[in-house]
Amino acid sequence: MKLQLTGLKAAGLRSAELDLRFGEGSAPKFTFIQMPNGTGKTTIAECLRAALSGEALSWGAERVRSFQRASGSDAGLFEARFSLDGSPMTIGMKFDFTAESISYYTTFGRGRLPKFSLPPVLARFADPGFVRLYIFDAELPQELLQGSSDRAERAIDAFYQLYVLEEISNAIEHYWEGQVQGASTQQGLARNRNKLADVKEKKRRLERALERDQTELRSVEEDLETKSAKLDDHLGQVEQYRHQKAILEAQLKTASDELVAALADALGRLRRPLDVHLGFRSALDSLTAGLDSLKLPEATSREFFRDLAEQKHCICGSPMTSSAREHITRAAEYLLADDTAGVVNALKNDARSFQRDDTCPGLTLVANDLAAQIRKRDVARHDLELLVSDTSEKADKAAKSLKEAVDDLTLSQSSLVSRISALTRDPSPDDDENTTCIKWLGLEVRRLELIVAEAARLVELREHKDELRDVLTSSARRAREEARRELVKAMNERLAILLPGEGLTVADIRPYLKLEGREGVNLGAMLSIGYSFLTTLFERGNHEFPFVVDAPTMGLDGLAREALANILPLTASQFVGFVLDNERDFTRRVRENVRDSCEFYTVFSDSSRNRPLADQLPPGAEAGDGGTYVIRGFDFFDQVMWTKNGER
Amino acid sequence: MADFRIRSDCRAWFRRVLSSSELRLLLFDPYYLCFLIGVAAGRKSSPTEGGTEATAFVDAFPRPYDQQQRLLLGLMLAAELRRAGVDVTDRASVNDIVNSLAGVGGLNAAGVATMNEYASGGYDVLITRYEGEAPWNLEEFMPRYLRILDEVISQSELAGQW
Amino acid sequence: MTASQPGGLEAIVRSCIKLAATEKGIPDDVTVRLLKLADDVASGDLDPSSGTETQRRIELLIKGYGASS
Repeated sequence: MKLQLTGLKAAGLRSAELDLRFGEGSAPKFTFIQMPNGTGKTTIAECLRAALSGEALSWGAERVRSFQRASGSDAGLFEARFSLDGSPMTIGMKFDFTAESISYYTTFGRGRLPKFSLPPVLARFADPGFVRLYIFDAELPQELLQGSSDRAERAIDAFYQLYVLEEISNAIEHYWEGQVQGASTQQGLARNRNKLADVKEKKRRLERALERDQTELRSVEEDLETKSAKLDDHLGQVEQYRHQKAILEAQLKTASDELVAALADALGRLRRPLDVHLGFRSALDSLTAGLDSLKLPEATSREFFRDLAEQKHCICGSPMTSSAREHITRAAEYLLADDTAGVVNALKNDARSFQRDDTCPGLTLVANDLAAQIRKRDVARHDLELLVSDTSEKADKAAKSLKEAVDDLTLSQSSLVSRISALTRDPSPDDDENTTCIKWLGLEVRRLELIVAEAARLVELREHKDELRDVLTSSARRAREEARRELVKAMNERLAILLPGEGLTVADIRPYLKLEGREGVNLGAMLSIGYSFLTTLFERGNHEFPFVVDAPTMGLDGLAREALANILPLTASQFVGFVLDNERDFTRRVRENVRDSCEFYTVFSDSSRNRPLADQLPPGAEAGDGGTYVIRGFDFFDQVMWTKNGER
Repeated sequence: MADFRIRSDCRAWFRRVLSSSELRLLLFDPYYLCFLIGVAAGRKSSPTEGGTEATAFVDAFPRPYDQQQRLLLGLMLAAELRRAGVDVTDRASVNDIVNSLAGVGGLNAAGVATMNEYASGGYDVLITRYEGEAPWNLEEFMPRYLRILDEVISQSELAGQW
Repeated sequence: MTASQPGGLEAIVRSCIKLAATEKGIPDDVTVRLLKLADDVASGDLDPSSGTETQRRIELLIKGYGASS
């Protein structure tokens, strides 16, 4: 990203009225603006910082008022003009001194937004502390050297974009949290794994039990068959037994057969809608009658065609031949392909023509009959059983014990059947882990397997995301270290040029600039150190910022100034200096070094105080709106005498 | 024809009756028996409501029901007309309803779907009125079913018309 | 001694990431994706604090392990 300052505008504020646009098309590398004290340099610098950081939004009423002209203007405007990666950008601040408030506007690309809104790539740097690193004044270098400030460290993070690593790390954590909402943790995984093993074990156990029961059932049934036959033999020895048994068995068979026939009959009846219930019958009949009254076309049309086919002549007048008759009949079928009518007529036809059971007894009666049949069959069964047990009583001991065995086996059989049924039944909604339904357990195993797989996946995912975050954290730490080393080295190289022979070296730059073996230094040294840090730092990074400095060389001696004038052209992409008339050796030197890329402005307001300056103006020069003189050009800049004005 | 669908829970309820029957029962039989209750009570419900499954089992009336299919359509028609509050002499509405349920070949897809709905609704009514657990065999089931069907037909809104 | 390609991540930062990734045993293609992600954030093309695009890229990053490890 490349940011350049391309112009300034100030109106109605506690400064000279300005409307500057630097360079012809693009900003020159160096712009020097010479303004006497009291012309509002401080105001301009503060506004410029506020424009890039948005900090004016938090200014209180008193602070806002402090920008008001002594003569009491109602409103003021400050506008900073930039070029951001080659595109024009403007940030403006409108001062309302009546309401004691400020509002921003930003213009970049598509039109103007009535608020502070920087493009993302620049918005990252809108920290007021950071802005002070490139729009600075004499206090900055001192701050960089102060233990109470971590300005230097934050500047490094900003330039090397180490914040990127932290932002990505946070985004990864955010993603992770989204994934695990409600999901199981490592503990959950272990818990579910155990549960799965338990359920599988239970299922296996029940399957083995089922097998055992089925085997046992087979053997019980074989035994039952054998013993029943034996019992029968024994009982057969009792007089009349066989005879009685045969009768009862026949009765039972008859009752069973009659029952089956009755059931078949009932079912058959149910399968015929007309015989189900008189209610259905009459519903279908009234439906049919109602449909009749609809006089659907087909009935009448069919009659028409039938009649027509019988005529001697067709309606068109030609004689009715047999082929014509055929034609008409066929055409009739074709023309009458009316679905509705066809279906309805078929329905009516069936309703009318199907045979009906005239007796059509009520359903309840049928139910009662069935119940009676069932009772009859049950009685026959019971009678037979009674015969067997009574006879067993009368029969020999062997028969008795056989009967008991048969009874026991029958009970076993029944309970085994019931157990097997419970094990093999389909799952029901009430089932839980205490169930004996093997199928349910099978489903549960599948369910848990899916959960375990998912949890395992999440555990793995967590490991990965932790690894990535570790990488980002340790990279940031390392990079900071590397940057520090690199910067310290570069800074000291530069310091050697700025302050040769001083033996000043920087030991560390975090969190503030620490000097090797020195407690404190003089202002000039401080400035040099500050410059060496800033210029070294700012030439790193993928971002270029303009340096805007108020009184850039104040406090530096002649040699240091010369050194600075030699270094600056090699480093900063753009330099804008608000200078006093006592910095001319510096400005001349810079001009010598970068002749073509240097602009000079002299700005002063038209007042009695500045009369001596105005007197030196070339003929024809006029003050602009607001009574400010803005003179462009090196000659006036370099030669104008400021006697009796400002400080020297 | 489109698929006839029986609700899984209905099928499960009839499981023992179907497997232990003294007679050879079709899967269509319980479906049909529920359908009768459904049209009698004028009750429809979606077979898949609440996530229940409803498996397709045939796509045409099996014998002997194929003979009766138009009468079944008639029962359904009567129930639908009643539900819609349409008089049987209202030609246009009757036309619409008939067309919506059937075509040249018999019941159309919507007609079969409606029949499925009556079967589903009928099952709802059946298990509400059937006391105790699911029946073990046909002889246990049949008398109780007949009584229930009788009750439903008598009590239904259509009693007048019936 | 100036920086890296315009608009992307600093050379120093880049090499520190590579080193840390190697030490952690992170698969190469995951590292490449991470670097690309950092590049795009650094150049302002991607805002990590918002948007589905970022989450999608991170998802690919984290899930990308399986393929090569």
